[in-house]
Amino acid sequence: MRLPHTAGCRETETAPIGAALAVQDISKSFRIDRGQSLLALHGINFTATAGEFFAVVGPSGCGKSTLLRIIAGLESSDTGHVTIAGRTPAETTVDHQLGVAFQDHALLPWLSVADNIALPYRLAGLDPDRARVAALARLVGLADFVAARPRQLSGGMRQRVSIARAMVLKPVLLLLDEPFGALDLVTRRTLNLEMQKIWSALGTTAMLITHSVDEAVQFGNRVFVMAARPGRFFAEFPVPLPRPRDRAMMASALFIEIVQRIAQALDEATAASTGISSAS
Amino acid sequence: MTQTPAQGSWLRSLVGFALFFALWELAGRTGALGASFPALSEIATAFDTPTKRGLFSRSLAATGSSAAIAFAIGAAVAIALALIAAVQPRLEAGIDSLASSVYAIPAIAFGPILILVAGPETTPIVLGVLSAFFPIYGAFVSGLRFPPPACWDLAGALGVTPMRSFVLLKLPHAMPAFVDGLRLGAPGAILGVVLGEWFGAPRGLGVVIVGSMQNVKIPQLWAAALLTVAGALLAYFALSALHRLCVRRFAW
Repeated sequence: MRLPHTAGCRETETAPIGAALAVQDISKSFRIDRGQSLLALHGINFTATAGEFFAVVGPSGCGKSTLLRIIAGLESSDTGHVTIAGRTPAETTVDHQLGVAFQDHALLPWLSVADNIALPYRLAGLDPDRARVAALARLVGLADFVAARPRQLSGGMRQRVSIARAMVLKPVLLLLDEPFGALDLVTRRTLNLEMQKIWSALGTTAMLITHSVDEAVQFGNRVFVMAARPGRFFAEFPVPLPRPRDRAMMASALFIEIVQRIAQALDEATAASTGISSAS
Repeated sequence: MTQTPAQGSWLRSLVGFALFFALWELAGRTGALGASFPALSEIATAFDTPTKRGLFSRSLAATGSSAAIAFAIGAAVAIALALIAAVQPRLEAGIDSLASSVYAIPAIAFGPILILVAGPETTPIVLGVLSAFFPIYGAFVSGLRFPPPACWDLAGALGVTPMRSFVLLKLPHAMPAFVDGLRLGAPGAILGVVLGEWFGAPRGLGVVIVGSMQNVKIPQLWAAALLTVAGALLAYFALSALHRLCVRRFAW
């Protein structure tokens, strides 16, 4: 089944276009040396409803990015399977229904901002929808920079182009692998607020990998905490906060309480991973 | 009036060259470096009659046209083999070994055999091709081999066909490396052709160099050698300008 692409981009559209995601019993190991292998992920199970935004936090090396790569079809798992609206990642990628933004923006320096946003059309062999590209450039606040080259942009602007590019084909699932990780704090906070608006406008299912608990709570309907060795889900927290989650919301007692609970779980997950207690 | 950094750099280069040529002239006139090191003004006498100028223009045309043909063939072969290695990874190791083996051929030892096998007209071109081929192949294939991983992941997550991602991502990304190979290959082609002419070609700067050496025509020998070097440097700097443009467009 091929999911339909919708022409144009209505910035106010709210009907979810996202797909339900099911991850069942995923395990993954990597061969490291002479028959030895490292179990990177073990027994990962979760589901996400269509249009949900969920975040994953965890200590370095716990397998967050590996999990994202398996969901994106960039890596295969040893056991278990992933379904996106009932289809495998490979079937979803063949229909160009995934959007991915990495910490490395991966913009092409020889293309303008508009052509970088439109790149997925060309990669997919489709005619670019110029109206949609222009609308996305407006949505990420780069309407005046569509003719600029990436090297003429700041780090935050480049990352906005990367996010617009990830969404240009109206993906049913948006995968964000620390897209704000390389940005300074001020740019990161501004972009977080903008990203929420963008996601609300598009209504796609989204997964955010981040090291920042604040960021995870700001974005997620749920936050998963992972532990390492092997990488596994350690705890899950619902985030019952209304949207938009702006700076005032982030200063609220409930937001802070949720952040503290997740941070505590993260400390416990880190201790469970390394055997070192943060209190010691 | 203040100077811009670029103007200052040009001025320093001009002063440096002027000083270098003045010292050369002085060393030649005083004989400080021996009788075989002529002054620049003495080398210029190699062009002072129409007959001498005719010799050099014919030789320059012969060497230049052979070098252009050698460069074109070397680049074409390098491009073809690099593209085959990139789209057929199973052949990559074999093509790499072949390219390295060709580069390792000692031209000096191989030249006389080539004269017998390929003939005196073709030998300079063959040696020019061998000299130009490897830098172009090596640079192009390494540019194609290492696209940014995130770009590759992006293509993977979009389910892009290998050929489309090759054309849209790998090939443009490899352009600066490719032109870098061209700028190293062009002087190589000229030097390979001149070397090939030493082995008995009917005309060319290499023939003038050998003839002048055998007949102890020191200014003519220097004039031919300097023309060869000037041709190689001209090709290098012209392609360096293209490389700068390419880097500005295709690289970060």
